[in-house]
Order: sequence, then C-alpha cells, then structure tokens
Amino acid sequence: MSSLPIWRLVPGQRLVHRCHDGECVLFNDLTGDTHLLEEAVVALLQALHAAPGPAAILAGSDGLPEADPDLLDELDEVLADLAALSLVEALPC
Amino acid sequence: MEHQEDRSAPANEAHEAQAAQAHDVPQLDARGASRRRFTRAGAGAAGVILTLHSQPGMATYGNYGGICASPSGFMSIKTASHNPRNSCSANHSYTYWRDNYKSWKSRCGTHSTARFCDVLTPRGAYVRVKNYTLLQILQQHKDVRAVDGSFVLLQCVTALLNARASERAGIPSVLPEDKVVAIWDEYSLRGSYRPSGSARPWSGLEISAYLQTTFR
Amino acid sequence: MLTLASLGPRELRARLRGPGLRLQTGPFVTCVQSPLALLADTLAAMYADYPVLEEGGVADFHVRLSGSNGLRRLVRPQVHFHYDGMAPFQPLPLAQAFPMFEWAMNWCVSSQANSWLVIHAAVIEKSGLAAILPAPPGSGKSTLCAALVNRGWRLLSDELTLVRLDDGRVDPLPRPVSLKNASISILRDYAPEAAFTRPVADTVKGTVAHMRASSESVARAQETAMPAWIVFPKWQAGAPATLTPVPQARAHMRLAENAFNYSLLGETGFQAVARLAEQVRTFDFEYSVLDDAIAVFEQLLRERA
Repeated sequence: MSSLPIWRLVPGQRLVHRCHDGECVLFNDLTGDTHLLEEAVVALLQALHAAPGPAAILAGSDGLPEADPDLLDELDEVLADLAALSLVEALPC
Repeated sequence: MEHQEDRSAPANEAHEAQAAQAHDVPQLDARGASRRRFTRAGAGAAGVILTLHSQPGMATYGNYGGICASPSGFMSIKTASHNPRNSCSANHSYTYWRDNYKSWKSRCGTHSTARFCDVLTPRGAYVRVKNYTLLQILQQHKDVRAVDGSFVLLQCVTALLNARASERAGIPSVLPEDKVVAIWDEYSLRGSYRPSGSARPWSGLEISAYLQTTFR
Repeated sequence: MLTLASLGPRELRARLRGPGLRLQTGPFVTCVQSPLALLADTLAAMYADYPVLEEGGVADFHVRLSGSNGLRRLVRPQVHFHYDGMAPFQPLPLAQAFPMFEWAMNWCVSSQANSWLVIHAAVIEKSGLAAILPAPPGSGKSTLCAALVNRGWRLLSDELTLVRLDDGRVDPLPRPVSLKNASISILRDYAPEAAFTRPVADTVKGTVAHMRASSESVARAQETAMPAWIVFPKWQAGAPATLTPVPQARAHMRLAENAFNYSLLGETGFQAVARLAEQVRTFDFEYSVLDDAIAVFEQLLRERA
C-alpha cells in the first residue's frame, strides 16, 4: 500500500443526496445502494468531488492548520469504508 | 438508535454498524478543542451509519406476510423480517459478483482477494489453480477455464458468496454454505454429485445448472 | 357501473368458471378465474360493492385459483394459485382459498406495480390527508388500521401503500382488511357492525379472517390523498399511546426498507422516498389501548388543520 494514496470519487458518482439535522441519505450511482451517512462524510465526498487528494490535504481542507494524526487515522478508516462501498477509490501512485 | 428494536431481522450486513448507542471517540488536542469528526457507531464504520443494499431482482417476488414467494415455492420466514425488499434472497449470479467485487466485503464478509484454497479444497486437476483468487475464478481466468470445463467451481464459488450474503443479511438461504461445500467435496472427489433421493448422480454440467437455479 | 353484487350468484360463478371475473380494485383490474364455490361465496360477501368490468377488457393481472385433481380432491384437497402460467406459491389447504386469493392479489401488486413506490404499509385518510403505517407483521398495524377505519378514517389500503411517482400522492387500493389471531375478536368487539369472513385456522400466519372494506371506501377508491404522516406502530401491552419523532434521514432508510420496489426503481425510488420523508412528519408510535391510539391520530389531524 502506497504511503500517500490520492483519493477520488469513483467516476460516475454524482452524490445524489439529501441532508437533514446532521445526517444524510445518499444514492450510490454504481451499486444502487442507499447510504445513511453523517453530514461530515458527505462534506468529505464533496471535497473529493471538487478535487482528488490525499487524506492529509482533505483533513486540512476545513481550515485546520495541522494534520492531527488521530484525525488522519479516522479519515483513513472512513476512506477505506467508502472505498468498500464503491464511493471513493485510491488512485494508483 | 431509537428504532433499533424494530429490526426483528437485519436487512443487510450494515446492521453491524448500527448499535444501541453511537458513542463518541473523545479527541481533544492541545488547544482543548474537539477534533472529532466522525461518530463511531458501535464496532462499525465511522461516519457511515447504515447501508441499504440494492436488490432489484427481489422486486419480482414480494414478501407477503412472512411468505417469500419465489419460483421454487414459498419459504415461510419465521424470523419475521420486516424488509420486503430482500426478505427473499440475497442471491446473485456470478456476473454480478464478478462485477461488484468491491461489495464482497460488506455483503459477504469475504475479500475478493481470498483464494480458492482458503474456502474450498482443491483436488485433482483443480490443485493447479489452488492459489487463484475467488475473483479470478469468477473472471474465468484461462487457467481456471482449462480445469473447470463444466463450470462447477465457478458456480460453487458463486453459491458460496450467495450463502454468505444471505447469512449476513439474516435471510434463510436456499443453499447454505455447508451444503455448497458438501457439493463441491463430492464433485471434486468423484467427478459427480448425488443428491439425496436421486436415482443417479449428477454430472458437472447438471450440478452447474442446478446451482444456477438457486441463485434466484 | 356494474358491481359484483349486481351480477347475482349464477352469473358470478359463470364468469369465475369461464372467461374470468374482471374485478376492479383501486387502479387495477384483475381477471379472476376459479371453479371453487368457496371462493365465489366469499368474493360475493367481501367484494359486493366493487366494480366489475365486461369481458374483453384489458386486465392488469390474471389470477387463477384452482382445486386439486383426481383423488387429491377427496383427501386434504388444496387450492393452487397460478399467475401467467407460474405457480408462485405452494398449494394450500382448500379452506384457505380466500386468504390465498388475498395474498395472491397482494403479490400481484407488490411484484408488478412499478408506476408507484409500493410500500408495505397500511394507509388511511381523513380530510384529504393520509397517514401511512408501515410495520412488520405482528406489530399490530392491521388491528390499528381496522380500528381507525371504524372510527371515521377512510381505508386506502391495509397492506400496500401506492405512492405515485409523479406527484407523491397516494392512490387508494381498498380491499378486505386482514386480521390474525387475537385481533379478530378484538375487532369484532370494537366494530360489531363490520362484516367479517369466518376465521380460517392453521395458515402460516395463524388464524386469519378478513374484514370487509366499507362501501364508502370502495366508492371513493379514485380519490387520492396527500401523505401527511408516517407512523411506525408497535403494540406494547400496557403502553400509553406515545409518539416519538423519527429524524428525516432515518425515516428515509426505514421507508426504503419497507418499500417492495425501492431498489428496482433505482434513483427514482430514492427521490420518491426522499420527497415523502420531507413532506411528512414521521413517528414511532407505541400504544396498547385502541381508543387512546385513535385519539392520538385525531390530535395529529387537529395540529395539521
């Protein structure tokens, strides 16, 4: 596994979703699944939609000046789970 | 979650991600501000609370009042799943599993990189392909095709994934995993399989054909 | 408009044994064929007010319920359901012919009616507003529905809620309300003027009976309603009638789980459920006393006015 995967939205995912009170439902264009996600995850997906990037940049994208290692670990885990759902993918380095 | 107790049977694997309570992972940095972004719901994914898997094929056969109507008759589902969508089957054909290999982990608890020898016993000519992954088998790698002329391994792997997906979804399976293994074991030892009550054993092609009928 | 009652018993049986009885229920026309006298008699009782169409018209579904052949007719005779040459259910004892008919009718809709989002739920209406009651079997949904329709609410459906994909309104599908086990006697006491079939024992759901849909609900079967509430009922012994709000995103997931064709409809299904979850108030509802439950629904209606 490469040290800094660049993540991107799986091509074809339009992020069709609705949010309410901090939770969102999202339609998965590829699998047809429906996901119940925290709003922060949808924000992450939208950031990836805007531009692919490594987890460290995504962590910094909400204005935090340093990449908190605990946060990065969490992000890595979330990204891995989103990859398992065919929402995101790591670009080969 | 306020409606946890409504689920008399889990609709899909992501029930593992649901828990009675979502508990926060406390994270305070040196400045004392909370840096937690994603709530971990039980042992499952952070931030991903629940997934409803698409099962479009099951629209054809509705669960009516605990009866799953399917072409093979009806299964009376005692564990009253309130999910009409996938109360009948989590089954798919091999092409589905081949094309949706990314969903294996969440649906079946199996990685697409799992090897043939990890799940079934290679025997005879099949020993040559023992280290091939399940995905390669579904992709019909040429070495696999060379030994699996009747497609029994292909359909057994498919049946296995179906059995595991059904189990994770809490749905009674037409062909549970141990039966798939039993069919494979007999076929790989004898070159045929004799179902109980059958006058004569089935050939590889007959086994393949039968397995496909269980995928609906 | 011709109703089943106006056919008279001889014509009814002739149509059932011959070209088929074309019965209209909500938006659907079902061509029903059956030689079984038991079924003819029960249809006459339960579907008296329903429109029947002339032969030669287009039917949405073709349902055939036949008996056993040969010696089987004498020893534990059965009823078989055939649809388009398929036998989707295993045969049942002959005494269960009417429950099987009802299940077959539901099966037709739940598996075919893809111009609607079809939710496994009861739905009732008052003042143009619909309350949708999804629930797993055994949660008391049908008992609650049967009680409400005997206290001023109109029956739209007791099992299959049809949500139109274009405008999100509910199309009625009033049909006999199915009741099981203890709820049969509960409803007999609660609504002594209602008409019930004789209970049929030993079905997969236990003892089953059906309560006839009111003439008014059948007469108003073309009158749609706007969903205003989704209520997930749960009967709980001794529980005071309590509504607990369900957050919108969670409501979406639970609705989707209870919709037969959510996956089949793909993104259209997603949007239909999202629209529904947005336009209604969604609750979990616990109750034990029927009158208390009715009062809660009346209160919801008052708040909306």
